[in-house]
Amino acid sequence: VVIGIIRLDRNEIPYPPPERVIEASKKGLLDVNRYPDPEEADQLRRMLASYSNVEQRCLFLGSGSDSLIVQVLRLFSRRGRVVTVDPTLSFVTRETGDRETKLLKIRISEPYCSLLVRSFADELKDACLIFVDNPNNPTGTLLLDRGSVDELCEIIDGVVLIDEAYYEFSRFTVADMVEEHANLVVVRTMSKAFGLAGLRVGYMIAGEDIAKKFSSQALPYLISKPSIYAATEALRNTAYVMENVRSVLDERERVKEEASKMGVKVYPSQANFLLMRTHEPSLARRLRDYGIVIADLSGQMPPGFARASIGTREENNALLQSLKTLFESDEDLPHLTQ
Amino acid sequence: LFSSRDESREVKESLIKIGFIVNPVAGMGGCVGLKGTDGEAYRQAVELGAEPVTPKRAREFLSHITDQKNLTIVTAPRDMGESVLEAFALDFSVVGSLSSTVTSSGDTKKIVKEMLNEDICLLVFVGGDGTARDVHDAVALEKPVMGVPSGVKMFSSVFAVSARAAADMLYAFMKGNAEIGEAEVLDINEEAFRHGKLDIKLYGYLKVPRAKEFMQSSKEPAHAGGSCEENKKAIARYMVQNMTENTLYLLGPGTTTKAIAEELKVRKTLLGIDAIYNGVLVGEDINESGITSLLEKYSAVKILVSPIGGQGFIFGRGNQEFSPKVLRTVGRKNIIVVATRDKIGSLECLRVDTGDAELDRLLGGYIKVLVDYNEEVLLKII
Repeated sequence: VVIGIIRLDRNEIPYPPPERVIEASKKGLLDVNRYPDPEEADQLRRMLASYSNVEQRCLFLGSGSDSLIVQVLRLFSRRGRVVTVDPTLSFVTRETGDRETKLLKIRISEPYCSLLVRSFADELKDACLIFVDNPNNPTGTLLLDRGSVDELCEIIDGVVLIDEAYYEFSRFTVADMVEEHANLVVVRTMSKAFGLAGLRVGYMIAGEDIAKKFSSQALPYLISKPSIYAATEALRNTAYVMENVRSVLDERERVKEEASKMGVKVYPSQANFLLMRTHEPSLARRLRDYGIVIADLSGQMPPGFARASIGTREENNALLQSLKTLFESDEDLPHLTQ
Repeated sequence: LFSSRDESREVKESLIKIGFIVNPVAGMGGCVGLKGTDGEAYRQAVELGAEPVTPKRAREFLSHITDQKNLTIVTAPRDMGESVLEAFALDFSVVGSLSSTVTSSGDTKKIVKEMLNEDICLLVFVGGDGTARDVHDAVALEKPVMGVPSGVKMFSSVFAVSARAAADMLYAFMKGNAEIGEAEVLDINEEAFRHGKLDIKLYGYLKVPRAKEFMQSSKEPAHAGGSCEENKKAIARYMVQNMTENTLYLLGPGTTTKAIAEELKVRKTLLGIDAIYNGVLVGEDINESGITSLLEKYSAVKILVSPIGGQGFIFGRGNQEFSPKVLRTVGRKNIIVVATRDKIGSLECLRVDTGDAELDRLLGGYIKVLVDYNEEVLLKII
């Protein structure tokens, strides 16, 4: 990364973790000639289970939630039919088993409010797996409520895989429902609200069926020592996490309001990013001229969509100022209004 | 900052030669309420006090080209390019000649041909649908083309959204940040339009540059299927492997359906409808009555169509041979929609306009679109 760029394209939290977490991570480097201690990894599992209000036996660690999603996809999607939403994370498309695996993506369209499970019952019932990121990336919308997850688990014989990467921002979870549904699995991450993206700590809360199969496949040393130490320390006191989340949510609403005033269509979000639409088809490219990097969604959403993570107040101000300058200099661009 | 505006616009060292042609009369009909500016209508437009529109648009486009050091332009004489370019510090040469003061579509075609002889790698034209048609006649799929929008009607998907966006795309193309896709040239039936009906015909396809997504991290949604051409081949492979025996396949217009025919090693009319039965061509460029005759002969029939880019029409634009009668006979469940990821990603929804409102309603709702090998998107027809 070149110094000076404002990166608002990866949905990271802009604040680094507290010093005590960084110190713990450094401690993990001291005897890095040794493999991680299984007991220390277990302690992290216990703490994550407690944080998530679930039993430790159904919680598994992974190197970031992506690796867990990929493992579940590979384990449960052979030669069957995988259903997901569109748009969603790209690697889901890439990792659906083999050539014999059929992939069906259900297009979610404006106003991006929900996935009506019952309307797609016929398509879903013989699926071996459904993946939904909830809230969805890039729309920022909660596509499923508890009732819909119940329905999905009932309709589908296969696995219901829910990505709750933005749980701390949405405060919505179905993790507790794994007790009722053996085919439900929820993946979460410490990359977002906890600010540990660089350490790759993800976890999965699995229903009985999945837990059984997964236990037999689990590798012993999935997470590095510095990561285990830092994650454990981060969970000892989560007050800073909640404080950072509050700042992000306040900033998110401010950016939404200010950008809307400029004629940008900004969609409601339950995450730490905003989906935006303008009549500028290359908004992301244009903003790069101002040193601001946001996610370009061209090719996977209709023209004019882009996604911006919420940064620090200063970073967000830079984004807003750049949008303003850009629109003022472009008289030929009719801007979308709400 | 990692780049100032100018630095980010630095292009590769190799010299890029583009063609630049302006249709000076395009768009003049708009403000005086005429539908076009061909022939007599142009004189009428002038009498009604219409002012030229395209020179302003052309100037706007050129004003956004701030880094010209690797760019050389081949243009047309006088107000078809030369007079606009004279005001800019850009390197250009003029080809061709104009016989009369009022330019015609023949001039556009002739000069574009001459530009192709100059080995240009991209043609930029300023005009509307009529100009796009002329350009299509001269270029076909030989070189990529980009339209700077300036006509009265712009139904074709070969246009950038604005002059500024066109300049941005030119930079992307020059820096190798663009990939080449195909876009439809559409042609409005003016006679039908006078009677209040929007009858749009598919005139052909042009190659167009499209921006690649930029600076995506690996997690971002992206084109997993590689290039547009590979994507089409994957669709074709899957389609052919899954074709039902003893079933008549009616293939609609387009390059994706053409790829399917190529996979079957069967000829395909790019703009027309062809019929294939057990891998053999049984109808070439057939019209409605041709289709009807085949429907009498074959009991199992499937229609294979691809939506029009940007607008998403699967019926009623460019494939009116699939008439309401034909569609009712074949039935919704026998309609297969195929489209590349790029095309489907940029569509809000699919559309139908068969001219039969009741049928349009019946065709509505979600339909699966094959977008890659073993991969479908469920999209709404509205």
